[in-house]
Order: sequence, then C-alpha cells, then structure tokens
Amino acid sequence: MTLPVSHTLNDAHSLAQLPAQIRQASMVMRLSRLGSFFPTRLSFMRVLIRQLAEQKSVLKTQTWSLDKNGFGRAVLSINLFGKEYSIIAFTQPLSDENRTDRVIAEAWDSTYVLYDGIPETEDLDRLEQQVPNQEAGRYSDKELVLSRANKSVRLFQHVVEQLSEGKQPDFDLIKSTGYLMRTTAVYGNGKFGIADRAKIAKRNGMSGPFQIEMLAVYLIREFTHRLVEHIAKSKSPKNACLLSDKLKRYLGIGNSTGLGMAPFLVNHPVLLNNWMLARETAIANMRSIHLLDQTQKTHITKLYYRAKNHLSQWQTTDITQTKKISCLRQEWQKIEPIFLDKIENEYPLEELVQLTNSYSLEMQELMVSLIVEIGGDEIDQLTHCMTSDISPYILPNMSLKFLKNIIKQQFNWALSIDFSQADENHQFWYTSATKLEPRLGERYSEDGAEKEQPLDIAKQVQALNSELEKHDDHQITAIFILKHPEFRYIIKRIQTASWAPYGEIQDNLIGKNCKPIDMLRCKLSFFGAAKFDPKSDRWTRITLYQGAPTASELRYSDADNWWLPVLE
Amino acid sequence: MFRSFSETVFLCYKACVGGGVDIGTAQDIAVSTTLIGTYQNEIFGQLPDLISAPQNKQHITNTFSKTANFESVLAVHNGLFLADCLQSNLLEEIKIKEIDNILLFVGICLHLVTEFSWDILIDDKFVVRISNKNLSADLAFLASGGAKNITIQKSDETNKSLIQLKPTSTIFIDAENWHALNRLAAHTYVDETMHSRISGAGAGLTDND
Repeated sequence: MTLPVSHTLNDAHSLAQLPAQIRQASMVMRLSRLGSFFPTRLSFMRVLIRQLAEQKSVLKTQTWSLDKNGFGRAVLSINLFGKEYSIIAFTQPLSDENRTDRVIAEAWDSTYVLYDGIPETEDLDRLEQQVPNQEAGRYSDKELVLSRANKSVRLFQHVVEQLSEGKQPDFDLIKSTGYLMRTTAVYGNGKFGIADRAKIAKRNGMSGPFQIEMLAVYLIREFTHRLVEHIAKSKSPKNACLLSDKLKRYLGIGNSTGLGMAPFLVNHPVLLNNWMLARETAIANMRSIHLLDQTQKTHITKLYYRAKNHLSQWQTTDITQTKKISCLRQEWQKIEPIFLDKIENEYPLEELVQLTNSYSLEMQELMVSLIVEIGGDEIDQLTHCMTSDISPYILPNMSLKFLKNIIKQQFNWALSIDFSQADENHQFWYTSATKLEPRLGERYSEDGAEKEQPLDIAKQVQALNSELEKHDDHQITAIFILKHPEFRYIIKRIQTASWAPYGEIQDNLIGKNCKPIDMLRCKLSFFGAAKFDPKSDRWTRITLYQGAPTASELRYSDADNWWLPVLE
Repeated sequence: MFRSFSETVFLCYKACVGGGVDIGTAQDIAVSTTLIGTYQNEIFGQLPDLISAPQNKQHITNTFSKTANFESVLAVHNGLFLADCLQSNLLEEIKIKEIDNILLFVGICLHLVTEFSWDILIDDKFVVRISNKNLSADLAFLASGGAKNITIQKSDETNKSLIQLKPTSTIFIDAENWHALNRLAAHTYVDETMHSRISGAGAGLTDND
C-alpha cells in the first residue's frame, strides 16, 4: 500500500530522504529529553525577528492615552510585508490579592488585542468594553490575538522609581527577574471569536507557526518599556530619564505557562512531527559538515562562551532544575579545552555531539542547539516546513496486517508499559468547570476520571493491539472500525505515525512519573524561550524576547544574534 | 452571534464527547458539522438530537461487491463508515433507504471523501455533487434534514445542472443553539473541589513577585 509522505518536512521529501545521521524518534521523543530542550535559530521568535529585521519594520505610536499612573489605553503599530498590525493595550489598577497568573483569574494589570490594521476610535471604544474581560468578552475577526499580562510588582516599581530619579535600575535585580510584565495567556486562532488562523496563514510573514502570537508578545514587550518610562516621567517630569538601550534589550516579556500547553502537543501530532523533523534535520545537516571555515570557528567559539555566561545567569528556585543547571555548568566548563580542539577537526560538529553523549541530557541538547546556531540560510529555510494544516486521518483501506506492523515497529514503547500497575494509571488530565482550566488529577483519590482527556495514548495502543489480535490480517481498517468505532481515534494516530514519526511523545502521560513540565519546556523552546523557571512540575515561568533587538534596533545587521542572552 | 470556525469545531467536538460519542468520531463529526455549517447554519440546531440518537450499528457482509444497501442510517454514528467506504473505494455506490440527516452526511463527505467526485441523488433526483472538497447543490437541498431513498454514486461529472456553492467565512449560530451545544459540552468538564483548585494546576492562587 502507498502511504502519504508528502505532508512532512516539505513536499519533496519522503522519510527515505531524511539525513542519515538524523536522531530517531525513539531517542528524541522521550519526555526526559523533550524536557531538556533549548531554543534554536528555528524557534518561532527568532523567525519573527529575522522577518521584522529583513523588512526593516518600524514601530509607531498611534494612541497614547494613559494617566500619570499608566492607566488607560494605548496603540502601537508595526508594518510587516506591507500589512499593519496594532497592539491595543488597556491598563488598570489591580490589587495584590487579585493578581494571579492562573486561568481562573478575573482581572489583570494589562490586557491586549493584536488588531489587524490600525484601529479607529470606535474600534477602541468597542474593544475597551471587551478586552479587559478576556475570555468573557466577545471579539471579531479584526482581532488576531487576545492576551493579558501582570506586573512583576517588585521590578516594575523599582524601575519606575529609579527612572523617575534619573537613574538606571539595579543591574542585579534586572538580571534576576528579566521582565517588567509577564503574559498569562496568549490566545490565537479563533478563540472567543477572534480571527481563525486561516485568515492570516497565507500572508507573507505569517505562514509559520505562532508568528502572529509571537508578534503580539513582541509588541507587548515594547509597550512595557514605554509604560515604565511614561510613569517615571509623569512622576518626575524634570528628573526622569529613559531606560538605557542595553537594559531594554535585556528586558524581555515574562510568561507563566501551565498545563494547557501539554495537551496541545498531544492534540497536534502532525504539527509536532513537523517541528521536530525540521529541528532534527537541522541538527543532522550540521553534523555532516566536513570542516568549519575560520568565520564559523570564531562564531561557534563565541557562542560557546556566551552559553557559559548564560548558564551562570540562569536562576531558579526549583530544586530539581537548580541541580540540573549546576550539573550543566560543570559539564559545559569541563569540555572547554576539548571543544576548542574539536572544532579544528574533520566533522567537528559530529565530534562535539559525540562528545556530549556521556553527559546529561541538558548538556546534549545545549550542544545540538549550539551547532544549529552557526547554520545560516540553509538551516533557516527549514522553518518553512514547520507548519501544517493537516490533522490525523483514517486510511480506511489499510490492512490490519499493516496496522499491526506499525504498532510493532513504532509503538513498542507503548506496549512495554505495564498498566496493571497502579502507578502507570496514576494521573488523569481533565478540564475544570471553573473557567475551563486544564488540570491534572490523581485517579485513585479524586473524582472526575471518567471525564479524562485522551492523553492516555499508550494505554489506548495496548487496548487496540489486544483487540487486533482477534481479527484477520487481511481485514481492512474501515471494516474494523465499523465494528469498533471506539478505536477510531487511536487508529488515526497510529496510521499518522507511519508518515509523521515524530508526532508521538513516547512515554506514559498518565503515569505517576510523568512530569508535564517536560512537555511545557519542549513547546516553549520551540517558541524560543530560555531561562526556564519551574514553579512546580506543572507550571513554569520563562522569559520571551530577552536579548532580542528592540524595535529601534531591528535595522542593525546583528538583529538575529541573540541566542541565549547574557547581561554584561 | 458570529463564531469562528475553530471555536465552532471545538464546541461541536466537546458536545459530541459530552453526548457520549467516541473521541475519534467526535473529531470528524465536529469538523464535518462545521464545514456544512458554513453553507447551512441550521445544522447546529440539529446536532444535539443527532448526537443523542440511539446507536444503530451497520453491517456489511459482502466486501467484494462495490455496491451496498443500507436501511436506516444515523449520520453521527454511521456516516463516517460510509464515507470511509467511499474514500477507500471499497464501495462505488451506496443506496440508503433512510438517513436522519442528509446535510450532516454531506458535511462528512466534504471532510473525508477527497478521492473522486460523488453524486448524491434523492428519489432519483440529482441534488448534490462533492468534488475535491467543493459542494455543488440544488439550493432547496440545503433545507434538508432527514431524507429517504438516497443514492451516492461515483460521478461521471456529465451532469452540470447544479451550481457550486460558496461557504461563508464566519458562521452565525443563534444563542439557543450555541447554548444547547454548550450544555452537552459541559458533560466533559469536572466540577471544582477545593483540592483541585489548589493543586490541580500546580500553581498558587496569587502571583506577586
């Protein structure tokens, strides 16, 4: 039977054409490795900044109606490939007891929409009635992204105070926080009536995954810089100064991310496959480079030392992550002399990857991100393969023999889990009736398991495999599903894995040992986030756009040179 | 109220799951409903009843024949199987004595049947053609609900009497129908307890740093 292979990587590729050194899904798609990822030059923020820089996009302030405390509304717009996009911000007072980053929040320090074009006053009036309500508001297809952000109270106030006295903020406090505000949700693709992705997906600059959401977050970051300067100046018009360019570049936008991101990866196996396949192809292509030229040697050496400094500035209160960072710092330091030797050899990047094989997973993943970083246009072209509008679908005439073979070859990891053990069934994923917050429950002590979301992929594979044993090999899938419609979902996934092999996380997502934070870090690394700061095994804070050029720096030639930012 | 395509698909999916439909079927029914809903929004008012219809399993015994007859077909529960048979070329002609919703079945074909062109006849009258995800139809057909004496056959594309319809880009669903779907969807949500509020998301209740 012929299988579709044209949905992955790009239309010209088939699985047989993948690079020889590519790391197999069985190695890459484990939670522990996914939870060790670092951003790469393929990350979505990097893609957006390259596009903004290439287009020499200019940020304009369209509206600035904020009072002396910074409350009111503002509009900043930017042009990308001939289209205007505007972030509309609404800010309001918020008491400390109401400041929560959870989905269950009802109020925020600031709320936003990314508007398609430049809004008229009547648009602003309409949106001012809706946007501060977030999920409870109603939107039109002129709105592309809905978001909100809370202040880092400590840093925000400090920066305002310092600027109002004509002084720059404390360097160490900036280093330890890294953002003035953190977003707590960024909604796109049709949520609450905003535009479907289809509206913008074919536009120049917007075809890649999450580009519109990344643009919204970038503009929110710009807004936060202007907001602290505005309040400082209102407080002390004569003495206030502006934030230095260096600090602006270092101040990213924070983000609090919870469980909602994890089901996304499971629910979009083709998309996940394409992200992973592009990333792994990039790594494999770099490993196959025979010799580095002098420019590449200089570049990779600088990046090695930048990574070292970045690690020294990465702080978290999470005990597990602190241990990992400490280990990583030691390992990165340990290879320094060998690193400098290796880059002179033939196949230097392959040697560097091999060198890290005996170290921690974080070390291995940091190294592959590093070697991808010195790739240029050829690597960046892979970003065009990272999108997909295809969902898993049934191949109805596939024989059960073929289906059984896919399970045997690609789902052995699922068959090997012993679900008779209570620990392997320990957790269940569900949606809370309270603001539809995604949550994780304990199956044996909490109610609601009968409403669990279908993240029990391995268990479903086992159930299907048992049933298939009772059926003739020559029967086709359509007839099998007629008798057993309950397996339609898992059969779709299994058939999809035959042409999208990186679409499944190869671990038990309902087991006691499953740490959702690993899935969050995987997805956030694709966004381009760094300095993961877990607040539990289900929740993390990160910083987006830290080190990225500000809008006024997009014209500079080094606008893309901000992998793993360092404050110096 | 106007709804986006993706929020409509998502609600229809949850309504199906909340109504007891298996997840794989719910995914395809949700997309199919929304697709046909871009031509005829009455389908959203009909969906809750279609979901609740008692299951009626179909049987196909002779897999060597390219034609098959079915007595009573339920769009939600049996429609995907028929579409799978058309898509896989297992069947080239299907005759159905009665179907509870022909509109939804056409939506299912739009979603899943991408191979070949198919003509649908009701009482031997040519009313629909589905070709490469495009829908051509007799406008009166869009008012259809249940139907009798349906034939689905591979099209030779000679009959040009139908006009190709354009889907709308936004979907209007009246509040009552939206609420009815939401009521079904609510069966998929777990009521909050103090324990789940505090520990279920793995985060605290206030965030002042």
